[in-house]
Amino acid sequence: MRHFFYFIISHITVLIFLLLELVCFVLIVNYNDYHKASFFNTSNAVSGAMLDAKMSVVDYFSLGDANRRLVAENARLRTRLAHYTHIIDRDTTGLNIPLTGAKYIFRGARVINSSVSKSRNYITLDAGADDGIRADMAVVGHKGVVGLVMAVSDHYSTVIPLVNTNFHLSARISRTNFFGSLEWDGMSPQYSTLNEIPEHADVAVGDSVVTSGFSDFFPQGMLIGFVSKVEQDANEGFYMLEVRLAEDFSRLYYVSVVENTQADEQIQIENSTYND
Amino acid sequence: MINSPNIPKLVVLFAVAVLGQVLVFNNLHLFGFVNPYFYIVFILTLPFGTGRLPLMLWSFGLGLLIDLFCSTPGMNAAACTLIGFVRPYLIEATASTDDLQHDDLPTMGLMGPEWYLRYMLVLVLAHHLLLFVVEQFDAFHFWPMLLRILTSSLATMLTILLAQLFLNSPKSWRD
Repeated sequence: MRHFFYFIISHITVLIFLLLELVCFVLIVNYNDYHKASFFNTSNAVSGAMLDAKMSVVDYFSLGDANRRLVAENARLRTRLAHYTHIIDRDTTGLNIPLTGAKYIFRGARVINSSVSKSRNYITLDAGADDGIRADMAVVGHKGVVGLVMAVSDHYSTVIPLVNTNFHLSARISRTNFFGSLEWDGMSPQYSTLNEIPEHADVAVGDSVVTSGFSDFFPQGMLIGFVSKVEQDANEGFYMLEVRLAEDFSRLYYVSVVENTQADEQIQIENSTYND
Repeated sequence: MINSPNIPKLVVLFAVAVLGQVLVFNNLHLFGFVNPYFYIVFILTLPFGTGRLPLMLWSFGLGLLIDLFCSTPGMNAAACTLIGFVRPYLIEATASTDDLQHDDLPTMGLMGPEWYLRYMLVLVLAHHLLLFVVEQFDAFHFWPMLLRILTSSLATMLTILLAQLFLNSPKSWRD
């Protein structure tokens, strides 16, 4: 017994080193399941408030750029609005398009923290549960899909973006409707990879890649990016398509969080069917 | 360490290390993948006389604090604990500890560029190696990872050398 205590005391530094490393690895392993990560992320109050303060300074330097992009988006939306108003006005069938009970509700949010240089990148937004944000809501930017809300606190939320190796998204080639799985390889934040498109599919460089609508959270047909390289997957009979992402993840200022008001209903009916 | 005349200096360094990392360096995506981890300058600069255990606990705590801001629980803490553990062995092996004052800080001004560059290289590489391997564990691409480790190490070392300019008044802090 004395031997044992002697061993402990003479190796205390090494033992505590191993203990601390064990604690770290438990944290890391637990975090890999990103849905569990509700506490230890940048949406917690302290770091959220600090990043918020940082952005209120940084904002001044990016205002010009952000405004230009907002103006451009406004113009685009106005064009569309005019187009649809025109269609509705011409609609003589008496079928009114209902304005209440919209399936998707968009809410604006400001990006207060983001990274693109890691293999698991995350984004922090300055809107949380109090602003109607919930976990699993889709996030889109001015140009394309950004990611999915992972965790929310009262005033902040964290988003897992397309440029995170843990995040997979069902995507579709817009022109030919073939669908596959979009996965990021952890390299350039400008490109992602679309797998599982069968070799007999008609694919060309420049085809736009959009959300498939199979997800419970993403509206279908939202732009993700454009096919930039077509490669044969050596042994599987599938294409490996390089996709140039539409959204610029290193310059995100404002995003929209999309609520699917019918998501619960969809998940419920799917569960009751698939679990049988 | 409690009575060290360097306490004010270390407090400022801690604040600069954490705030600089969170507010500046984490947002500096050079070429999309180079990210300097400047904050470890604090672990490198704790006084020679810091006990092995306190050194390791400071490193662990600092890493965990950075993790809190990066949404990477445990990753920076694991890498920092490693270099906090290795540092005393490295100093024992490379410097004649008899000449060193308990309160002295391992800076380039005190130890000379040759010693300091070697000291920094070993600790920065050890930190980045563990950090990047752990970070990429489930999406393992060897060459991109190696590229990231080397470029980020280079960037980190540049920032730490820059910090030496401010730590480097060998007279002033001993007065």
